[in-house]
Amino acid sequence: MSEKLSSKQLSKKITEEYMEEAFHAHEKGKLIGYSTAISPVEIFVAHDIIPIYPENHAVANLTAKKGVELCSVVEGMGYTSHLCAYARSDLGYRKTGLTVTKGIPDPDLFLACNAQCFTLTKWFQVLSRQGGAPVFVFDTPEYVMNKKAREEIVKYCVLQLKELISFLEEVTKKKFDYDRLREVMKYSAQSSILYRKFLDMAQYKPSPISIFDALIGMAIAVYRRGTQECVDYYQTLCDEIQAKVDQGIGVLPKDKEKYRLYWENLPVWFKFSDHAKLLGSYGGVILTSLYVHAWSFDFDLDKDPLLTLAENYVSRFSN
Amino acid sequence: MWDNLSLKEVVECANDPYPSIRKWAKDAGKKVVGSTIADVPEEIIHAFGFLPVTLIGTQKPLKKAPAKLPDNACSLARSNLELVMSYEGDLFDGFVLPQVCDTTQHLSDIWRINFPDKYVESFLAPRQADRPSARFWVKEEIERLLSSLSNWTGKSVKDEDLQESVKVFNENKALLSEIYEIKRKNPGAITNKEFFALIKLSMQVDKAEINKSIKKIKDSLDTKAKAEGYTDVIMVGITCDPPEIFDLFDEIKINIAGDSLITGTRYLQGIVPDNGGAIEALTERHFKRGFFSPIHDDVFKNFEEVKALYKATNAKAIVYVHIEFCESEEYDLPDLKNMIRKEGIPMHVVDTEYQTTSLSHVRTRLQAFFESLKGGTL
Repeated sequence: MSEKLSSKQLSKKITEEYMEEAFHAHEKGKLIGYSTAISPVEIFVAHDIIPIYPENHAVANLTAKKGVELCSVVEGMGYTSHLCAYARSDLGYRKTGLTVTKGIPDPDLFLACNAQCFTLTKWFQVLSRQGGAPVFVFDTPEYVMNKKAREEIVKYCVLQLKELISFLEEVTKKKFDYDRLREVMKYSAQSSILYRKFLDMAQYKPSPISIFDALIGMAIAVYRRGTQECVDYYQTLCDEIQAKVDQGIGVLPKDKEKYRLYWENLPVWFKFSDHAKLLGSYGGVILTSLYVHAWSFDFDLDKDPLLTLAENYVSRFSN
Repeated sequence: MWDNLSLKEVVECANDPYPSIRKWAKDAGKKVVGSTIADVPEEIIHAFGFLPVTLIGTQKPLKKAPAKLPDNACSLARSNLELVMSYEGDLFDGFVLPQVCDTTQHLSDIWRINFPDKYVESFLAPRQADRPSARFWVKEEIERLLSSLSNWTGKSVKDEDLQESVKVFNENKALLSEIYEIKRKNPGAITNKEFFALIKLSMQVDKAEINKSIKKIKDSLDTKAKAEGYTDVIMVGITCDPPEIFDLFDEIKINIAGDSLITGTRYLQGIVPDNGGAIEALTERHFKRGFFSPIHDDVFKNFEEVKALYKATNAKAIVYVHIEFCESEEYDLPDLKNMIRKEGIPMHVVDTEYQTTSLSHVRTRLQAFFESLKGGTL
């Protein structure tokens, strides 16, 4: 019997297999769908469309300090320097091919959900004009503080999810399988519960995880939710962190953990490790951020899958 | 107040309409509801007995808005926020704010926080407009706005009330369209600055009153005088500010023969169709308007519309007015520019910003462009 993989090994394996499959998607009769990080990607997974997140790839390049080089190219193309650095770095990659990874496969279609921001819609539109792949905009109006309005917003979103399914059926010439969606939702619901459990472990003193662990740990939830391996990964991760808790192991030793902090919004990716070291030297641990909680969904499997998808995606903190 | 204005007075009033709005509201005992651009069905606000006023920035200095919105946020959003935070906030009893992009979405929240004692409602415009769900959503939002205003005022409006408001607003747009037609054929009859001031003021004051002025102005225009030496161009963008930019066109006889501005043709395209119930008709109207960068997902459509306008008017060039820092425009513009240039159409981009105090850089660049367009020294 082979030795059980650690969460780190499992993450590497899942990521490699995912990218391998993505690069050979067409050979396997699958399509590549570019998606915003906060999108009802369960519908993609259920329809054998491999989701690719240009944001993740942009982060890899920005963290490796390739931003200046990539963005300069894009500014030379007429885009202003104050547009989103993720978008500029991705458009720069399209032009130059420069990347610190193996790159990402080209899209067959786009899914732009504006629950996180509208920038991604505009960015995907630029890519669509370059390559000709169609864009589906999943419009999530602001989740305003009004019960009746929220009910109508969810109705609007469910209607759009039905339109998304018709759109995918048309592009793929394949009937959508709702039973498969229910199965995918089951995995998504399980992994979300485990992912939140992992994030909530920051409440222990000393905290066994910092925001930096959470940011690394969120990756699989972002790009592999809706799969069994995603559930397995978060089970392994939770077990490992629980073992640290049981042994009283913290990011900093208990007597050194002086400041328990909160981080608002996105990390400064290219200063990621500097910030961790600097704060650690002062006894500071950043415990969590709403940002990482964006992927801790609360799917209700007793509801119609489209309804619980709509309710979850429209209610993200960023909307 | 606005029923007997000359063109000169229209230009003056459009420059700063708020003193007159203040006086009018006091004399008429009316409440005022402000909206930012674009697409709020202002007929509904009017039917409840309010004066709907479209907020289109201020030329007064920024003092408080920069603390709420950073320097690289849309300059119209900052200018509008300044307008209500520092200068005219007390004039308004409430606001209906459309959400068409990220900036307008978050601006609504900032607004609500800064005016906790006022009525602030959002109009959640769909940010996709080509699918049936968008139509469902616009109708829902129109009904929600009706219900929200009803809760606020304790009044309800009937379909006939809405139809009555629609009639007055439609008349305004029809009259302005007639003047535009005159301007196209005879650019000497009315200057660019005067015409766009008429539209801007129409978006901000009582329509029934200004319609009377527009009728008189229309009848007084000299449609027979021979207009020579004019060059027609198309203006593309969202708004054009400061209004002195129009002077630069007028000084050298450049006639704006067509446009896609929200404070221009896109306003005029807002005539509500006469097809039964007012709610259905207002919903229908939402989809009849032309391209709008933040909500439509197709720059090709924008290109086709602009090209069609260019050909229909026999224009000689396209002038794109880019407001700093409109993110939607900035993602669209490089491709739009390439498409227009590939077509062989001369194009010039004017970068402008609300609160601009000097236009010398715009003047020099525009003059050089127009000089090349006219094939010699101006």
